[in-house]
Amino acid sequence: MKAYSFKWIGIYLILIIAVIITLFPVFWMLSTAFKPIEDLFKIPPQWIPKNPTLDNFRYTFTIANGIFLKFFRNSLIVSTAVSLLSLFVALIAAYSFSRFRYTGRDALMLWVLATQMIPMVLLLISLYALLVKIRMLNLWGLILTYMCFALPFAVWMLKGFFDSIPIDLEEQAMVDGCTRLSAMMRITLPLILPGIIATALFNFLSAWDEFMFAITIIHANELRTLPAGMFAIFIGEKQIRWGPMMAGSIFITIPVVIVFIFLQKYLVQGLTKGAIKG
Amino acid sequence: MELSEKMKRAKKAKYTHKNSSSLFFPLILVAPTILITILVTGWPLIQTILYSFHFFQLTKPEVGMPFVGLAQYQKMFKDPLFGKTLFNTIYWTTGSVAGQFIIGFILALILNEKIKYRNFFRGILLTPWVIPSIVAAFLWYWIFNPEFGILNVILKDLGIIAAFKSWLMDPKIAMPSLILANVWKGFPFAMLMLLAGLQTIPPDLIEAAKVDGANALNRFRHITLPLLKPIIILVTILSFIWESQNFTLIWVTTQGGPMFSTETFVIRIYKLAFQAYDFGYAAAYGTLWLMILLILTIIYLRLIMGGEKR
Repeated sequence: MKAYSFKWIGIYLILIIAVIITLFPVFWMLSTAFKPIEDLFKIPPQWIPKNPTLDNFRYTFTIANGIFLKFFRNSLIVSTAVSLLSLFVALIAAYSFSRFRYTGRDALMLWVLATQMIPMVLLLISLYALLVKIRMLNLWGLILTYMCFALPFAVWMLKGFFDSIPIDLEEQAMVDGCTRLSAMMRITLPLILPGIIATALFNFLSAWDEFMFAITIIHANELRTLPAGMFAIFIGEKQIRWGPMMAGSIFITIPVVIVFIFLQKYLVQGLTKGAIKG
Repeated sequence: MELSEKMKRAKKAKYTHKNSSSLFFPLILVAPTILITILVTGWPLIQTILYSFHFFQLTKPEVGMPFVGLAQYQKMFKDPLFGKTLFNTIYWTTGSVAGQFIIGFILALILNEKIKYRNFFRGILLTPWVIPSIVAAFLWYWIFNPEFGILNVILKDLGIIAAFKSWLMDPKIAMPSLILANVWKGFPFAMLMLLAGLQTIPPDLIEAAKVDGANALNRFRHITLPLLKPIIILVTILSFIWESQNFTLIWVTTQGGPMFSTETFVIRIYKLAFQAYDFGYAAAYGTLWLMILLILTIIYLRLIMGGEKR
């Protein structure tokens, strides 16, 4: 009995330490964002801001005529376009991979999987040269290049979801007079809707997060996405403005956290389902 | 083995349309995907490999792109930074993957116990994974600040360090510091996947072993580990692929410095291509890096699959 309770003390001790280490940086981000600049550099530090202020947020939102909000808009456009475009293209491909057997199918599937192993920086070299040539160093160019990670991911996820729905259901509907297309639309799609949402969402977050392509392909400040734009405003200055930087960080994290809490169940389910099936 | 293979196939057949007589329709459906992946992956990959045999500097368009054979590869092997870059990449990748995996595994095992508020704890522990990479990089840049960084204050108060350290500006500790930040960011993924794997293990199996007198360590070694093997392979390979090309954290904080101590292949290639605009040389580095990645992956899979045969 004693060894038993020692085990539980150990378990909860590790858990609590893990939670503290996990959350501390986030706590520190919040604490920094609400401190006036003169309190930032005090030692010993103020754990909780004594004179909380919104100055840092005001600074971030008004810098360079509100360019921060433009970054936000650009990120929203790029992420939405990437997740929707990859979803539609991948949906029909995944249906084909899941529902038909034909020569070359395995090779094509392997190709789609293999593309994800190639380091992105290798692709960036040629894609950049291409985009310069066709004058597409803009948001459209960025959206197009993001297909290199979004599309293969979506195809593989969705194929897994299609595989989990027995074909009999569709064939039953076809016997009852549905065309193949309407059988898929009416029977299968609603059943895998959670998977579809999870896939689109994951790609939305990946595009929201992407940094290397974003700082390279977009040159005009006005057109930058959030990560690239924040890097451009905050890093590289002699005196980094930590307060506004943390305020901006909170702001770009919030949409992600909202999306995540709202759809955590689907996202986790979808990712692990695909993974365990291998 | 063959029988189960056949059964699998028979089972699969049930999930597919029987009269897939026309090859045309399914191919039409995959055509857009194939075309786009060729455009944004296949073609650029071949192009980059070709660049590696050509002189190609964006700043010198008048020279064009003359064929130079293996000259850029020879230059690379003579480059004193090449060995350092290779070492740094292996250091960074193995450090990050091992750290994330071990911590993720321990927490997954804990979350798999019958603890109170399991979903709450799982949600909290996923936080670093949800936070955007750029935010994580900013956060740790601030935490590691040599003069006002909170890490120095905490460690000094706890008596772990005697004086403030310049975490990211000291070539000796810059890499371990960045790996620490990266483990923080990446362990939840390993945790999540391993936890999902653990939950598929039937509890009866563990109970039966308990009845037979196997202790916790033996149960772990002979039941949990073998059953988790596929997911362990998947998690480590995915982390390996991702972390070997991690760019954001290093670029925001050190850009490969100080004294090239955190310069991995990705950073080196990026600098060559987009700071020196030497696309040909960058491509040579990139092509070789791709080969190394492929070889390492094959060796790893061989090692693991080899273990299976025993």
